[in-house]
Amino acid sequence: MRIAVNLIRDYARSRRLQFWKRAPASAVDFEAVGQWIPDGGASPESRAMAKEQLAAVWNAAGGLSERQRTVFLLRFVEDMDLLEIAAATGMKEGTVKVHLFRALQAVRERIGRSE
Amino acid sequence: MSQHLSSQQISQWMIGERTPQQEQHVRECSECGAELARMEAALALFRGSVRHWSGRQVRVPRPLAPTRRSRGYPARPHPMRWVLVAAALLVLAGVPIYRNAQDRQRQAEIAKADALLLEQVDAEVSRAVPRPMEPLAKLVSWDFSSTDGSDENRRDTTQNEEIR
Repeated sequence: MRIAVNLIRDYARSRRLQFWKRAPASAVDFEAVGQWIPDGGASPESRAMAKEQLAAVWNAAGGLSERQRTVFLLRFVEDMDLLEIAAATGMKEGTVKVHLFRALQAVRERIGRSE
Repeated sequence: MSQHLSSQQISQWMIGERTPQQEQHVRECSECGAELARMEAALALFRGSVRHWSGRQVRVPRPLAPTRRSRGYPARPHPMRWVLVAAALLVLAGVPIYRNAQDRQRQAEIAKADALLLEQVDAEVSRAVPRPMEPLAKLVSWDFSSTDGSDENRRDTTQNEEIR
């Protein structure tokens, strides 16, 4: 069962990564994507705030360099740890950390600006 | 540790680099705790939206520009389609022509063979004597040109000599 789950996860992950490789950042409509918010029964105010935050992260991700965006997506979308990212990208763990740190700084800056 | 986490320390925290002092401070400081929670919530939203959006994009690729068909225009045929149609027409038109040429050639050969056969038959029919008797006929020279009966006399003389 565990193997089956891992296989499905790997398939979904590789499919998403292929998609990210094919899709140039300019082809992504960040504003439209930022409108997506999961149903949670939250108040209109908190939903509006969540929308703003989401749009800010998307915008920040769109402005990252290719390496920074790859590392950022692998860490925060695919839930990979630093060693897995290093193995997948062929970078050293320290390099992955640096790219991730810069990506997070850019995202934090964008979120702070959106408030 | 009494100071709030700096922007860099928050980013390092998100990567997983944190000291015990920082962990203690976050437990005690509601401001830093709220900042980290806000960041984690934003990233969780981002994760959900990326998975939702990329999954949808992979399943149903959206065209970047409206196509002619979606705008109500008739679809423009591919340029190669006309080449293929022309090639097919050429082949279809070429088959009867080729067959006609073959038939004509065959009929010409038959006619030629017939003519040759007729020539042979004509040559055979027009012989004065049958082929096996040709050597004998060469020995005897007949002259049918004179009509005064001297030929008959000459023939009789020859026959008489042979009898003798």
